[in-house]
Amino acid sequence: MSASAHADDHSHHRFQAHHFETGEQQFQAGKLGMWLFLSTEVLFFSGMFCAYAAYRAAHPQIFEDAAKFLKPELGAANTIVLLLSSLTVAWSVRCVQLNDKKGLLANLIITLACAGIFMGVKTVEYSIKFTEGLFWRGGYTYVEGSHPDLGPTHERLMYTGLVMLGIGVLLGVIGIVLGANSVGRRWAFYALAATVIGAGVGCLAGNAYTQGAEGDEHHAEAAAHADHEHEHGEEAAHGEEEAEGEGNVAVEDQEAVEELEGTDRVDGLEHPETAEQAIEQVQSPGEIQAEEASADVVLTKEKLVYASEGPKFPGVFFSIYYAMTGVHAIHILAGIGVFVWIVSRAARDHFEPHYYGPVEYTGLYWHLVDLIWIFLFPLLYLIQ
Amino acid sequence: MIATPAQIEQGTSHDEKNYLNVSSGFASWAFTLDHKRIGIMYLVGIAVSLLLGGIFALLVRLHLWYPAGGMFDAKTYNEIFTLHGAIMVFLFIIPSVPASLGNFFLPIMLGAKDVAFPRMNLASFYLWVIGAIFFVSAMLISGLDTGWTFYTPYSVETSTAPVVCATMGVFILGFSSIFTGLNFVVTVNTMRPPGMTWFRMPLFLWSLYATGIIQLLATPVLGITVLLLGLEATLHIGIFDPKYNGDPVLFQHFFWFYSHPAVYIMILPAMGVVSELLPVYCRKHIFGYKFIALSSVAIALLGFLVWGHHMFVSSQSALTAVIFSGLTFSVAIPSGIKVFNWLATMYKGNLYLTTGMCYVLSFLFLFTIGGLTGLHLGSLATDVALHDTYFVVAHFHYVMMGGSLIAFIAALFHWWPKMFGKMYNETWGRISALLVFVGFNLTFFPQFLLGSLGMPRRYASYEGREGFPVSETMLQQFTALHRVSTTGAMILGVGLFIAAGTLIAALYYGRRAPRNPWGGATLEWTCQSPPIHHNFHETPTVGDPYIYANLEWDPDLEGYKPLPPASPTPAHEQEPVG
Repeated sequence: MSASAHADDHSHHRFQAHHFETGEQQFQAGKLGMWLFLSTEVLFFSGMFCAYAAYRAAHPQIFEDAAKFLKPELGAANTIVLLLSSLTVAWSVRCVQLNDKKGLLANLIITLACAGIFMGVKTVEYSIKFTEGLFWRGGYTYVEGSHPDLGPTHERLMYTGLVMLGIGVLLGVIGIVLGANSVGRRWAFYALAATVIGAGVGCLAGNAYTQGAEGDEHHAEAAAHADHEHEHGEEAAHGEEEAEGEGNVAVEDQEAVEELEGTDRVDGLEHPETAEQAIEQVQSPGEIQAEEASADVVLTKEKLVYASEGPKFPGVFFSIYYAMTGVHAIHILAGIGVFVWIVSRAARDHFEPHYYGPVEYTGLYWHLVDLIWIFLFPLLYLIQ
Repeated sequence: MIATPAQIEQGTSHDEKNYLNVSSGFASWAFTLDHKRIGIMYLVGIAVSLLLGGIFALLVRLHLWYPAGGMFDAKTYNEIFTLHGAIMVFLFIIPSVPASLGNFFLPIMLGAKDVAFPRMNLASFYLWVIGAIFFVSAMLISGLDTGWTFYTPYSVETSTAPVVCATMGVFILGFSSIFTGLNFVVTVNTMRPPGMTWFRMPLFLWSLYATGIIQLLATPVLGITVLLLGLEATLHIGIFDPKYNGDPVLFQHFFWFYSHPAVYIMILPAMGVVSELLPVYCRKHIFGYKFIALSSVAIALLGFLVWGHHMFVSSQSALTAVIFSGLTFSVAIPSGIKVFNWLATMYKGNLYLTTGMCYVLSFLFLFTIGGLTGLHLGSLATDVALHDTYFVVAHFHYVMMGGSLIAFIAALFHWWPKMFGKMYNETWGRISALLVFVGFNLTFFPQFLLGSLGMPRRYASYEGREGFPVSETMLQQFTALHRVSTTGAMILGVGLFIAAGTLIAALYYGRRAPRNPWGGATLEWTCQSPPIHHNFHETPTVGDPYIYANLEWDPDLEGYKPLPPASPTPAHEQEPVG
């Protein structure tokens, strides 16, 4: 009793709910609530981590090969961005404890910009995979050796990035205009502007990097291959010409490509002669859905086509990839929404050293979202 | 000597505004943050779900009167038992005791003004409503014929729209359940009143606390599972669907990782109710308080380790099956401890056979049968024979319905005077208890026999066909047993309607309830009936919740009142004897 009475003296703040005895009790309840919520989040993701483990254990080679389609550089950039945002979140909590409003707002705005950059880079990654036909299992249209023209995608991404920058600036201006008599509204718009500008920057930078990296690869392979242009969406005609197409990111081994050309119309199973040699079974489009019964997996180092599983099997990797990163991205979006609200409240002086629960809870949530990415990044991008 | 707040309130008149009449109008309910009103709204929703699920159950039973199936074609029959199961599990049993009665009484038993997060509590209710709407739309679209378990690959092959609708409903209901559990755990952890140590908490709170832990740790797994299932049905992501290289057994693992602990979400609050009611109606301190409290936690934890016993015939390895079987038996230990302690509480007690007590006695009988038949299913050899037969159906109805539903009704009768300030008619209450008990056993005991004779569950007919040959003798046995079961179901239905009628009639014709009609020593009996908006004027100080010696029957009040303290020792410092 005496402890709570003591806390009573200087912890009554205007946001204390009627059913709590003290502000301290309210803070502790909220904090425990957030930790419990985070435990549910961990279990929510654990389902997908289990699925990942089960499929990886069953088809290790496919996972390794499919992972080569992901760009570790982009994943690493996003990792750094998220780690930075975790730092700024932690810092913002410290700022509010020290009653430093400027620092609080600055750190929250940087956090939001980082979240924006993360989403921008993800946009680039998803767009390019969609163009290549690297969808989830049911929509998987990628064909070994295909080389879709990424030019229009890059162009589109560039415009998307620029439009986002424009929208971001516009949001900032709207904030200045609309926020003339409401500091909370003004800062909410600033927060949104920071996020969208971040997304634009992420989109442009990610796009520029990918384009550059592809240019290098292209250059290296140009000597060996004639130029093949493939329109996006032409996958229906796969089977013949794409198999002859030049190597894509994953297929660099010239021998394997030749082997592929030689066997691409073989329907039945063949036994691998050596581990180096590729044997594949490209079924005609009608059969692909019908028979993908199990048999021994035939693997090569470089190729994504598996005699036993059907050519669409790597789609399962991408199913898991999209499910995990997609659900993670939804959490980022939710975090952005909450942070905009926090910024708006912070601008209205709602937080003070005796009442900063919402900042801390949102920070905890953000750290968890960051932490999940810290697991996703190596599992999906790095493990070879 | 200072009088306790309870004594001061005892002296005041009944004129003070209670939570029901403190404000009025639609908005005062729709946007209320009062845990009591939210509990009442939950109660109404849950009662409607029970009615709906019950009607489907009766349709199933009526259909099986004739061997060829009397009412529907096979497809419609599949939809009806699916809706019965899904509505009963997700809309009724899981939220039944915790969301309605737990919401109402958890803060009061803690002497608190509300749960820790009242807004989240209201959100939980509205999520329940939205989830229910999804279920009803799945029902109206028609074609949901997967069984409540949504097993792949069938659930991704049958019509997509109702499956997606229902799984989204499950997803949303999951969040509703998580919010309730989270609220309870935080409230119990941070808002206990002075004097209420962990081991002075009423056992109902222990069981809600354990339930909350399961809700927090298991429900998100169901959430991701049904999300992936929805994606599988629409986008074919190939995680569960073998046609797209998925693994259907993985779905079963995920599903039962939630749905087995969910069984304890359903039964633990019921056990809490029994632990609360028995000592009051036996006028005797609960026997083995700590064992009952900790066995709730033990059940919650062990419940996470036994999901594989639903999958003994789903191509588990023999070793896995043996391990899961062994772990399954371990759950029997804390359950047995509870039943033992309840019986020991009754031993040499002074039993008052109120309606609540009658239902509690049927709970003890039915739950014990349900629990013991669980051992048959937990042992590998018998399970292989009994898997997917009516034996399983009878087993889980004895536990879920004989356990959870019966305890829910017991709790309603016990707390009705507190919730609405009206006494129900004891005679009609007891008649309902008798009819429910007889009807229940007539319905489900024959199903044990049906199952051991080889009648598979979920079949629309039992006249025999290719793959399910039925001899003449078997047909006679099946028919007779199914008809006994259907007759029992009708009696059970009548009993439940009488129970509902008794409670509803009490609202209109019941005499005014005193503060403490049964002589309970937990905090809810010290506040007004019905409670005031903030429950208590002062945070009460509490002691042992199962000491009845300092309560005395007052014929004028027609209820119990606290004895004036005879010794200088305040009530809350007394220790239980023995």
